[in-house]
Amino acid sequence: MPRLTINGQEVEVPQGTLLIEACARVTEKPPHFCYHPGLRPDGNCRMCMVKIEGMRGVSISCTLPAAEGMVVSTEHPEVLAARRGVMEFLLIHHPLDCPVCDKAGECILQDHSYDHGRGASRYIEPKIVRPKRDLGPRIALWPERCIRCSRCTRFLDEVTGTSELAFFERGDRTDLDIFPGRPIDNPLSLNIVDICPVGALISKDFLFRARVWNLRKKASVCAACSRGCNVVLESYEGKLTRLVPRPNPHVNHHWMCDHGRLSHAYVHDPRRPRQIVKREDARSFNVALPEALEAIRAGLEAVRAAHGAAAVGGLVTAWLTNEELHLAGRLLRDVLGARRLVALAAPPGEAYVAKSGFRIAADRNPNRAGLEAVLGLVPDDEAVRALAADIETGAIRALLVLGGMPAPAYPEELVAVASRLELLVVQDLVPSALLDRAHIVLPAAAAPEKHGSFINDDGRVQRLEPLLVPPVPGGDLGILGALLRALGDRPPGGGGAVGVFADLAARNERFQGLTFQELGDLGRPRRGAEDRPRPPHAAGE
Amino acid sequence: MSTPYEPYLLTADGTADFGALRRYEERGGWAAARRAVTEMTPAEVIGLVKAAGLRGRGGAGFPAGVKWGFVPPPDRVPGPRYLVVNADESEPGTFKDQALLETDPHLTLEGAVIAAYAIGAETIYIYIRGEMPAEARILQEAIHEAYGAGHLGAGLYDTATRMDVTVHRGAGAYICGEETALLTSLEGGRGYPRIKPPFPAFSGLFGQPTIINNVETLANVPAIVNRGVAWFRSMGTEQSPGGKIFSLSGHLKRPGNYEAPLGIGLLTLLHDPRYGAGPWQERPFKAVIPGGSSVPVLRADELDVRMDFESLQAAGTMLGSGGVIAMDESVDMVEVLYNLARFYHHESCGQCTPCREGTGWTARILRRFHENRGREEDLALLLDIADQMMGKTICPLADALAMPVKSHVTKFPDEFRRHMGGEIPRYVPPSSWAVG
Ligand SMILES: Cc1cc2nc3c(=O)[nH]c(=O)nc-3n(C[C@H](O)[C@H](O)[C@H](O)COP(=O)(O)O)c2cc1C
Ligand code: SF4
Ligand code: SF4
Ligand code: SF4
Ligand code: FES
Repeated sequence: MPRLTINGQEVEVPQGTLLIEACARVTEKPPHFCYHPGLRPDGNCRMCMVKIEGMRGVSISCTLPAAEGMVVSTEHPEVLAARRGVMEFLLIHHPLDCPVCDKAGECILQDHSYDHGRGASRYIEPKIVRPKRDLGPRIALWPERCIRCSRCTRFLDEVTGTSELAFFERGDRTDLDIFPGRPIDNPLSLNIVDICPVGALISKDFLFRARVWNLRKKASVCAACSRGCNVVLESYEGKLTRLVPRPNPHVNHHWMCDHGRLSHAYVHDPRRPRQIVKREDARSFNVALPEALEAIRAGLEAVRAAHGAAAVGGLVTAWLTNEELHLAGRLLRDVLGARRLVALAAPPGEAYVAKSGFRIAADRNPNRAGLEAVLGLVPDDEAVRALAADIETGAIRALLVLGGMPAPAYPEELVAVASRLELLVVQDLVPSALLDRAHIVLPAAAAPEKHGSFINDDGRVQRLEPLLVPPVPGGDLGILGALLRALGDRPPGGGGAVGVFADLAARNERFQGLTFQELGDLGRPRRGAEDRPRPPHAAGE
Repeated sequence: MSTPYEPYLLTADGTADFGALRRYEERGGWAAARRAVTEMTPAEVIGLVKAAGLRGRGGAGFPAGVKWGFVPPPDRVPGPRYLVVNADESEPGTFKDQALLETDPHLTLEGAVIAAYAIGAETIYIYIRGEMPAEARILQEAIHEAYGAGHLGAGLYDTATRMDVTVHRGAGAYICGEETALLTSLEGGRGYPRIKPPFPAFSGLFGQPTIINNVETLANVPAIVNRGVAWFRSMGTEQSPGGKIFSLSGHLKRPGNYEAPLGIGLLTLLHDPRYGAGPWQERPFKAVIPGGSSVPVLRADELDVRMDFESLQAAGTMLGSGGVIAMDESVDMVEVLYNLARFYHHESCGQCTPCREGTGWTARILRRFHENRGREEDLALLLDIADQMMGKTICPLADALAMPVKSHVTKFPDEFRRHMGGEIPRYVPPSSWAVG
């Protein structure tokens, strides 16, 4: 544990800590471009310079480990002059087209220019002009903005191991490009847009869609697979506009996959059910929630009176949060005493393990682990078929389908017998044949509209924060709470995510000792799951 | 230095087969390697070269024996060691390694074998400049001969030592002469210098302990083994012992390579009939670059200096590679600096900001001067840019332009002012590449 002095303040840091990180403990992190905590340091931009007593000139802080007895200054006059020099150099060929640059507002070059640059340029020579070009299906390059920091090439070398990008030519002619006919098309490609310190690498999906300072943001998790990468959800004018990864050493380090970013189109799909619908005699009406609840209550009562409590069935998906699952369990098992409660899973996608160990799970059900922890349910096609058989035989006459999923996956057998039901309540995110046959349609909330928690495939309980307003105010949790009330019960803990989670923690040993607040931004392992940061560079994790 | 200096590096007599193995052995060649391998321990060889005080001839002047001593013992860093011969000689004004390889390839090979033995390497790589195809062929032929005669290969001189040599031809980048860029290039990568530490002696080629030496440095080694420390130290100065090849070019009657003891007077090199023999066409010298294109220039009134590491440093310049470029009064110092700037702009690897941008900016400003569109404020700007480059980059290539800029601008400001008006006729650059 070396002890050193930074700006007159003593600090002790773990062995091997880079000087730039040591500086960050006592003062602002030295300004930097090429350094990125998720990549091997390269030391090429020369912006992170500090003065180390006893060493000639200035030294970069991003490649040097902090050493015992070092005396370091981040504000020495030589350091300030060197930073000004680097800033001036980086801007001589820069197009300074911030007004039309996607990165403006979150561009480190822009920020450092304010803090460390000169007001005016002394460069009067011709600027190098380079046309923009396509790098692949999702990414384009504005080469004039590139400061050749090599973050992108290092990402593609170290994290994905695909090395699509390289520098060509030399000196100030150095040009970033792909090889002919080899576009960037790997599952993690959009991360290079995030880590590009300037607006050189551009996501075609986000291009010109918003100025970043107008974005609303919420820390949440991605719901596109069971990994649960930590993300920041961003919206503009009420529309989900961008997802960017949020570092979590236990889950995704600094990254997320392209699929996770781009698989949220369903949220704003015009065909998405957004109204509560009641269907009667082949006619549908938009109704308010109380009317729907009353219809459900009455329908259930009729079925239970005629056929007994066991004539009720339930189907849930792993798009329900732990809190929603807890309420669904209470509703179907405790209040209704349902004959069958089954879980339906989305079909698996392709699994992927990057060179660095970053994983995309084949399991595309974001809260599968929650289903198991909260309700002890494992999605099972057999059980769903058995449910269909019970409907066929008339053993089940009322069915509640809760949670939904972004792509319908109801088995044929179930759809085929749906019309035999006396009461079919379907809550979903997308239209489907089952939804068409429902007596009551309840719009489901999408993950970016939810307040609650998921459990990822490592057993980590992680929070979702709502960025968008769900179609039904209060979301799925609100609907479930209202249903319980309609049936004469009361949702525990007041029905909000915090309270329901507390009730869950009190009753379910897998959540013992956890509180919703203490999940924090990085989540906590559920009881019995391991809590261990995954090393970023351990391949084959 | 009362006894006349006897050359031991460049001894070719002009006969066609001077560099052949048979002739080399007749002169006592390969005896030093045999002796080192069969009679000395590696530590003794290192001790000998340390005691001789041999300093690197590639530019930086780092003591060779000390560098060899940095190679960690196998119990600290296991695996192979490498000796790399830097034959990339591309510094404008320097052409000594080429002469050594062309006329006497076995000399450098023998030195390399001794050095490799000293550091425990069994593999030698010779990285030779791509534009030296003839020298590469000569070297390859010599290697072939040496294998045949048992100076290379397995069971060297009936010991357990093994020694292999591979020649690798560069692809035409000056930066690949910088030792760490050379290693990256040798590994098949783009010729980017690496950040030090780690130093190559710990982690070099393929991550293994590696020593890189200049051709001329290694060519000194056989004589040191044969003749000893006292002989070596009888030449040169206390801090710069031994002999050195000086490449003389420019406005001299007799440009060429000359071997002389370190510490020889620059004026002697320039004027003595045995060396440069005075200015060409008797026009007085205006300026001399004493150590290859990267070092600060000396004005005519600063030429009374001795050619050794410490004296030139005291004179504000450097011995560098020993390439002496003499320029007479017909020379326009602005064009000189513009030419240098174009070279370094062209050769910057582009990896780090101050060099990538500073070399280009400097070259573009000087292009304006070349077109007689200079401005008074450009002089301060040129110096500022040089300051923003100096000592702030990954490798010293940025300094190699910054130093000439500073010395040219401060020593010849009036020449730059003559390029602010329009009186100088337009000059057409000889090469096809253009700035910008
Ligand atoms: C830009 C640059 C170019 C260089 N080119 C050469 C070269 O062509 N040949 C050489 O021997 N050393 C060259 N050097 C110096 C080498 O980096 C290194 O110091 C040298 O090969 C070490 O050998 P020595 O200790 O025997 O001198 C160059 C250095 C720099 C910074
Ligand atoms: S494109 Fe962006 S990340 Fe890549 S080198 Fe250029 S500035 Fe750096
Ligand atoms: S790996 Fe999974 S959780 Fe992570 S971003 Fe991709 S889809 Fe989302
Ligand atoms: S100083 Fe110049 S040549 Fe050396 S690493 Fe930096 S950019 Fe490349
Ligand atoms: S951040 Fe240290 S050199 Fe770029």
